[in-house]
Amino acid sequence: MRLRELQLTAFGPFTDAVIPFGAAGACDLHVVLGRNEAGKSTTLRAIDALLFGFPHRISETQIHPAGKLRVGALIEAVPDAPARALARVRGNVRTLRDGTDEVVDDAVMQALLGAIEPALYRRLFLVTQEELREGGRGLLSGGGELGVSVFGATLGAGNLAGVTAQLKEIASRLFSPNANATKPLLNASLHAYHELFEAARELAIAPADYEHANELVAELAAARERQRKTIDELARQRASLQRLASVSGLLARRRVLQDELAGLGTLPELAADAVTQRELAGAAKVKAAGELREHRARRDELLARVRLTDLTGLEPVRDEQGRPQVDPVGTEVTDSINRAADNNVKLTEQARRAAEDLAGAEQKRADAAAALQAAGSAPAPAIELEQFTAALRATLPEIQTAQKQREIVARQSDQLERDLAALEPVLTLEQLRTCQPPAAALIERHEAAFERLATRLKELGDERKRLQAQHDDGQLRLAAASTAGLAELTEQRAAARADRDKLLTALGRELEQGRVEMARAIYVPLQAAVPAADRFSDALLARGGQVAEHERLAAELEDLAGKIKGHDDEIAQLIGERGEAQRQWRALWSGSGFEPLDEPAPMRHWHEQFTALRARALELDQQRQAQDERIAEGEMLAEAVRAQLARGGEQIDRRLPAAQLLDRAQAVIDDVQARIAEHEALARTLQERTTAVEDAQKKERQARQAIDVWTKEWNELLAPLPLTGESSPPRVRDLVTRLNALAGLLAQLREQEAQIAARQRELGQADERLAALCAAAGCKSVDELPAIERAVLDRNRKREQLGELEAQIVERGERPIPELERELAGRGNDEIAAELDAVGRDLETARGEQEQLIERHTRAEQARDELDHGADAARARDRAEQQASIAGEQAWSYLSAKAAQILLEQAIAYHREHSASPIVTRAEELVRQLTAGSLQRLLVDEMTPGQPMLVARRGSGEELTVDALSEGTRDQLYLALRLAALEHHLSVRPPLPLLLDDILVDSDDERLAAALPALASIAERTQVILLTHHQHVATTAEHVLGDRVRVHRLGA
Amino acid sequence: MRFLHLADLHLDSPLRGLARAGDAIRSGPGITREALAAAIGYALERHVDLVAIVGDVYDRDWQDFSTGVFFASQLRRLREEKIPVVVIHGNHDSQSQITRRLTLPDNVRVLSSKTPETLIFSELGLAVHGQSYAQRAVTENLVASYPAPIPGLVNVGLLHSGLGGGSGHDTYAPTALTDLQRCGYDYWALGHIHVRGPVGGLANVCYAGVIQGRSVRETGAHGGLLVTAEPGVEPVVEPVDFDVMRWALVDVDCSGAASWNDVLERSQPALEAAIGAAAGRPLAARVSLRGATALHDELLANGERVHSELEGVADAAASAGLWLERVTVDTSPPLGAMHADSELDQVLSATAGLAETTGALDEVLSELHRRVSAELGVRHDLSDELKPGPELRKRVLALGLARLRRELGLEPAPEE
Repeated sequence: MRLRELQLTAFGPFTDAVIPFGAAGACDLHVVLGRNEAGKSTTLRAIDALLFGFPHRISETQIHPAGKLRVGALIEAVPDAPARALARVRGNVRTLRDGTDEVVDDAVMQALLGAIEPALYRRLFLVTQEELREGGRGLLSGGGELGVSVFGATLGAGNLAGVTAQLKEIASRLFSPNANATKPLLNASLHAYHELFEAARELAIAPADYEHANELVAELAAARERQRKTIDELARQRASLQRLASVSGLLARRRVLQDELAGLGTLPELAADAVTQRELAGAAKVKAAGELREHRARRDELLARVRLTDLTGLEPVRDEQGRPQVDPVGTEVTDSINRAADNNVKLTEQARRAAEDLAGAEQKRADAAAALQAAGSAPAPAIELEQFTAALRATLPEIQTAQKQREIVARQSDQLERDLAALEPVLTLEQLRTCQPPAAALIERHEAAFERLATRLKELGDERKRLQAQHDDGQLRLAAASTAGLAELTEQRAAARADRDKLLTALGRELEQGRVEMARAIYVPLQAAVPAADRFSDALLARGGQVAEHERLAAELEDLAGKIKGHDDEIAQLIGERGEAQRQWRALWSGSGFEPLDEPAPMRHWHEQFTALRARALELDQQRQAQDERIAEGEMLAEAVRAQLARGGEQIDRRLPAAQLLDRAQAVIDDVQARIAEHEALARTLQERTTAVEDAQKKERQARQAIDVWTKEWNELLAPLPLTGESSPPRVRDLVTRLNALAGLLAQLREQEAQIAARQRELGQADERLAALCAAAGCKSVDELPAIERAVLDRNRKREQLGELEAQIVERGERPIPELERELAGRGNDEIAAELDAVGRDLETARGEQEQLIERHTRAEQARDELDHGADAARARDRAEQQASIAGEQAWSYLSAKAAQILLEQAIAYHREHSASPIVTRAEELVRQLTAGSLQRLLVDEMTPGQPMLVARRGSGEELTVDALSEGTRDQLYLALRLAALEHHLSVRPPLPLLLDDILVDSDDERLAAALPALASIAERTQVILLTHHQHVATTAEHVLGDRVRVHRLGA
Repeated sequence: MRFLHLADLHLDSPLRGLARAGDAIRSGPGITREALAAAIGYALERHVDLVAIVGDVYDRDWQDFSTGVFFASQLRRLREEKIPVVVIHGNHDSQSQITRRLTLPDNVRVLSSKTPETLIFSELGLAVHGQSYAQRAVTENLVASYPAPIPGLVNVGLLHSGLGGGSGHDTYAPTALTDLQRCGYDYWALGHIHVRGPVGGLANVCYAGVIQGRSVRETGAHGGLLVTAEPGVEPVVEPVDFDVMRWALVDVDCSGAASWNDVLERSQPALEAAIGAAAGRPLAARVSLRGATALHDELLANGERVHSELEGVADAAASAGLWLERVTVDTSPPLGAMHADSELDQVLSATAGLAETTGALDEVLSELHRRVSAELGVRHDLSDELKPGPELRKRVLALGLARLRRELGLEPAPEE
């Protein structure tokens, strides 16, 4: 793959810059000369972006924003194959485009690149000055070892020895198999694990230790329990003695009380309230006798009042003693009689008023019937007149508006005709209605075509003028660049070379035929002919720049003349196109009924005005028609109104304005409506009064019926009462009052008789209770009772004292009295006190011992609990495991470094064995060129078995190891190896552009001139692009390589 | 009748593989202790009738009596509520000094190691059968001697066994499912295997699993089983989680990923799913990047960077603590995308197969393994992980190749 052209369309400082590498030719070497370092580096990054895409972060956005960056190229899959246009834009996907900006699959680019990975391409096909220096240092640090040197150059890896050393260093920092090593990280981690694990063991409690501590705790707990029991027993003894001491006095008092009770002898057992019972019975007897006397006097008074009562109109039953027996009339019946009497008054009044109202209503109805008869029949309504009048009134404002608008439309029509007359070209009202011009878009398209042709013709004219000026200037410069003498010098060099070649041919022939003498004879003139030919060559070389400039100017002039002719041809073609455009313009208007101007531009304005005017005309026509319709409708309605009025006998003049006509019609309508309303009012009055008579009749009937109902209910109410004679409401009220008074007296009499019987019963009961109390006390008279009662009370008090005393003894002694008597037997108070003192002392001693045991037990528990560090040991062990995990990560890191180191060492050896030889052979040729013959040979020194070394030999035969070479020469040696390895690579892989980043900048002129042919030889196999910002590199390349190199100057 | 089935408490057993978790996870009483305390709290709250602990209360090599004291203190909490506890010893705690010397509260019964023992809890209508290990390696089939079920009671068998083996655990007290079924018990409470759940599709034969995951080998939820049983009726077994942190293996499918961003964007939902499954607990995750991707070499060559980037994603995704135990690059290059065109890769692929290369590498692996197992012990996870062999060599070679490419500038670090 190679680039035919690189297009820096929008990248860094470049806009539409192109590097035309052109066809591959025999030698595909290019020097790209940038104005400065930035331009050169930018170009390198542009090529990288083209091939592999833009990186995410990019700095080439000085002019073009990141989203607009674009790099393109014409790419040949193989030299001289048809080129494919591809471009790269910035983005995440679909960044590869073709010449028409269509998206192209990335696989196309990958196929062109032979699927090489980006990193590998950069490694193999990009050589920088830094890599050369690093490579030189690598040769030195590798001591020139063959494998390291050649494999490093093959990989473009610079300092391979350095990589190996670095991997070794990393591995050794991580791990040493030496058991005593502690410094490497992994060894340190393992050591730390060990220590942490031991620490965990230290923190752990040994089960035996804990068990012993626990046993001690258990023993002390048992001792504490024994001591507690001893104390409990002593306390029990002391409590017992204290109990006996507290009851011995009480027991003595008990015995005294028992003796006193025995001395009282036998007494009756009286009820506790015997005295109270006796006193209550006596008092009840006195009270009952007094009340009996009072009730008997009251009864006699009531009997006298009954005998004096008036019984007229009443019919009472009488008892066996001849006393009347009556029940009172109940409150409910009394209330009913009172309510019925009041009702009778109200009903009588209502019947009277109903009869009067009926007579009045009948009189008013007769008056209304007479008035309606006097008024006669009702007039007919004017319905049609009302409808036409209403319609005319509703449309009147619209009709008036339509008449005013008619005048405005007439004025606007006049203005439209004036506007038509002002159009260019002019247009009549008739044409406005009938003309069918082409669409505005078509006119615009023709206008654009006319304009494009005009613009292009102007541009071509200007460009042609500029080219003509350049051509004229070029002719002057060509005339100035003199080539005088060059042709002559060329001929002289050709003659000298012909002489030299003739002599060489002859010399060869003589030598072949073994004619040594003849050969010697030829050799003498040959010695002179060779320098002569070289002199002419050198002279020509010295004037090479002048010739090249002359040729370049001539080529430029020819190119300019060609371009001018091209312009003339294009102008002629455009004039033809313009004629055709004018023909099509006229054809466009042929069916429109109108003749346009020659140019589309003014017609576009005309068309806009035409469209507006036609819209206005159409609108005016529509308005006029609507107004006429409105006016005609109004006239029709007025005629209908007049006809209706005439039918009513009123003739109206047609000239009367519509408003006045409406007033007249309204007056007629109002008169008819008033008369109809008056007749309707009279009919309504008669109807209302007929209804009033009917209501009065109904009320009079209802009043009479109410009186009948009352009479029936009154008779039913009186039937059960013991009354005789007239039953008018006032008399009945009086009889009921007297009946109730008699019933009240009889009730009081019965109450007094009941009270008398009750008092007599109470007197009997009191006598019975007193007799029973005497029987209980064993006496015959009530008077003896108080003395007996006092003796019994004294005995009972002593009994109570004895009971309380015994309860106190049992409570204090906590035992039954006989048991206490037994416990105490034989001991006095003093003896008990002495025993109490002794037990108290024992108890105090035991408690002191108990405190000591508690303290010892607590201490033992603390000691045992202190052994327990909780999870401390487990946590320490966890930390040890964490350290083991860290060791695991370090182990993997170590293994990857160590494996990488082993692989690299083995790979170097493998490569040395299988591929180094042809690379060294080719590198020898290259280093000879690159050092301008300073180094002639590149040899392999096998003196140290298994470690072959590179050795360089000078022309003088002096052999130099790598460390004996100067720094510059060592860099050249690396470059030779690098290029040789690349050639080796290209022998089996497809070619790709080799990018050289100013790699010759540090070479002196002699070495620069010597190195360029070496690059040219690579360029015979693949495209080589040397980027530099040093003019002398480009100049020397052109000088040394002539047409084998192409120099491209970057213009930002 | 309800009882709580626990096993494999491994109290105070350390967390493994958390190099970067800091001290946050290691503060407090320790996660296995917290898990046991949670289980006891649950038993009290739900008023279970009994707690069965089926072996391996402590790690075999752990001799801190504090662990035993803690265990006893937790069982005393049950005693206060009169909840009985039945314990058998397994391979880890049978010979432990802690087991021998620890005095447990009187609500705890440790079943005999000499012969199968039956405890009858008449008030619960329950008979518990089981046998402790007498020594670490019990090779005979203990179940063969287990007694017949007692009619009318719920019969529960306690057994610490790997059954037929093959689960990555040592096979102790080997037996077969048919042996267990033949006993005719209502429920088999098993211990030893650290994964919770029924065995062989039988709902009444279950492992309680380890109470708390301690390394990435013990992923997912852990705790115990709440068993509700009646005589002659299939028991209802409900898993109950007591773990205080979780472990997860998080696979991230990187197939076709074209950029680091792709990888990170795919990692986020995978990590979020794991965080969601942890239900608010702290989580330690091993992330495995898988699938064929053009980034294969780049990921492999920049392991540290991969870890850091994913830590960033993890930090953003997690509300509780989330640690990346490890990030493994298990991706592969896309088909046909080998570096066939590079001289280096041709040379390297030839070199990788050379006897000199594998010999030198094997020596490095052996040296490293010797040192690590000398310091950590041969049974340590890391010693096991670094045990020389073809698999390890292959993995190290792949890492070495990737690293070499990076060192030679052929595998650039990702853009910042």
